[in-house]
Amino acid sequence: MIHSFIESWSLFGDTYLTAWALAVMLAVVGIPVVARDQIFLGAAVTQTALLGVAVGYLVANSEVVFHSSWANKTVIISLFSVGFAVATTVFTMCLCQDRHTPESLTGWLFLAATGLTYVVLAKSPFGLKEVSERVSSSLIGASRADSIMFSILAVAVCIAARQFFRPLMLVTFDRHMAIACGLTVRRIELIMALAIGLILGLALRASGMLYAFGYLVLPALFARQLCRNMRTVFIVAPIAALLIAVAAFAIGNHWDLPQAPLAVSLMAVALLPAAVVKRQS
Amino acid sequence: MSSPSPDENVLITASDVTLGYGSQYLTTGLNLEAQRDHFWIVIGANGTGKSTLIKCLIGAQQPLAGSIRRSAACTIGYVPQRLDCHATLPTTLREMVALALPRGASSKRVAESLAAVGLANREGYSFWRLSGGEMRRALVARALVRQPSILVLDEPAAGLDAHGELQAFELIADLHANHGIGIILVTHDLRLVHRYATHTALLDGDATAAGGKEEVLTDRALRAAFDLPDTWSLQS
Repeated sequence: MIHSFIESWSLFGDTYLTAWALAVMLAVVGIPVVARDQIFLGAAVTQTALLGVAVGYLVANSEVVFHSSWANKTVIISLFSVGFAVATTVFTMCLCQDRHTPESLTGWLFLAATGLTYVVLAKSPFGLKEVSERVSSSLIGASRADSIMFSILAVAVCIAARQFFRPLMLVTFDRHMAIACGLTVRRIELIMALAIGLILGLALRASGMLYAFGYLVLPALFARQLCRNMRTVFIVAPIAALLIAVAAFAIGNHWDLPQAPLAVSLMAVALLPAAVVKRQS
Repeated sequence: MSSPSPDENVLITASDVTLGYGSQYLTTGLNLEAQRDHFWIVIGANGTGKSTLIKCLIGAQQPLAGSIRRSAACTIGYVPQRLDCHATLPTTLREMVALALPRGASSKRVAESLAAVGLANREGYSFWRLSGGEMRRALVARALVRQPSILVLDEPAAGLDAHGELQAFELIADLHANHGIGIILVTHDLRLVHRYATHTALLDGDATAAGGKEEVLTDRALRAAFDLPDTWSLQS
């Protein structure tokens, strides 16, 4: 298995690196999402990013843009994906302070984005195929630029999480205490919303919905079961995500299985023994 | 060395404050000055804006009218009634308290704060496995790591039994008397006001009053604020 995996590196090295960097990055970003009980927001953001892909696809294939020399289809789709994801997180953050409950708002966003994605692409069979591939998650098309960009982002996210652990967790555990401590809570929440939107938008374009949402939520849930404090959650979640993603891509390559769905399945299955350990401790 | 003038001792000043949400006024005309040697207790019937006042004092909300000023010497330690986060989040007592540690402050303060509330030997315990009373003391310890000049507490004994309630108030009274920390807290229990407060704010719509305990805690004002029968008296 290891031998065939190493042999496949020349062909799929960038795909593997992109997937692993995404796993680490999403695992870290997912910790405050899970801690703030915003899992469904993660689903809504990935779904609106998918709507962004659909709209971006239409724009990229429109008469004006398609025949222009300056337009890069991948960049246009990425911009729309990120734009829609960021708009969703910021919009949710602003409204959740008001009378809307996060559940009702994120539920509405999820359903509206899902419906609109298919309505927008109703007359575009190739667009529907592209969206369908994004839903099931395929990383085959990852480029060298993707692997470099996501590796840099993964390192940056880990450093930021280490640097801002205390304010991040204080805002998560007790918003009012954070205000009393003099933290600019609205600014911290806005930065978090922008970061989650940006990362989910980019991840969705590169890896698809299943992988992006799966690695946003599952590693944090896994680490939450095993750890005794939040600082170790920030260590265990990305390490577990990386190890399971590496194993999944090796197994998927050997048995010719779809690697991204396999990686999400393995991460989900890993939660079961973790829950048993938690119950016994 | 001359002692500071009374004005220099003032940590928080609320001037002609109106509390409420949107167009709904809960309390108007509230004036109070809190100092280190003051033990303020805020009372009032349900829906008169006690928790709203606490949010305004810590800066989480703005009053509808009037102003709340905090002096340069004012460092607030806030103790919520409960944490609005899931008990499934893993955290130890030490980690929970250390979250409020100011940047660059020595981590020794965490142990000192836990010792001050009688939880010195429980640093490594899961926060969520503490009893209700211990959890409340842990939140006080978290406020203490900031070395506050004033503690603002929202119903510190809510949900505790009589023994837990007494312990919580004795701890707060000790911090006030022996550590020189000013106190502003909300409670429903008039006996506790009588026993511990030096100053009282009685929130009652546009009949709100604040000042020295004896001045504010009159039978007539309490009967009106809590809709009590004419025969009721605080002494009884």
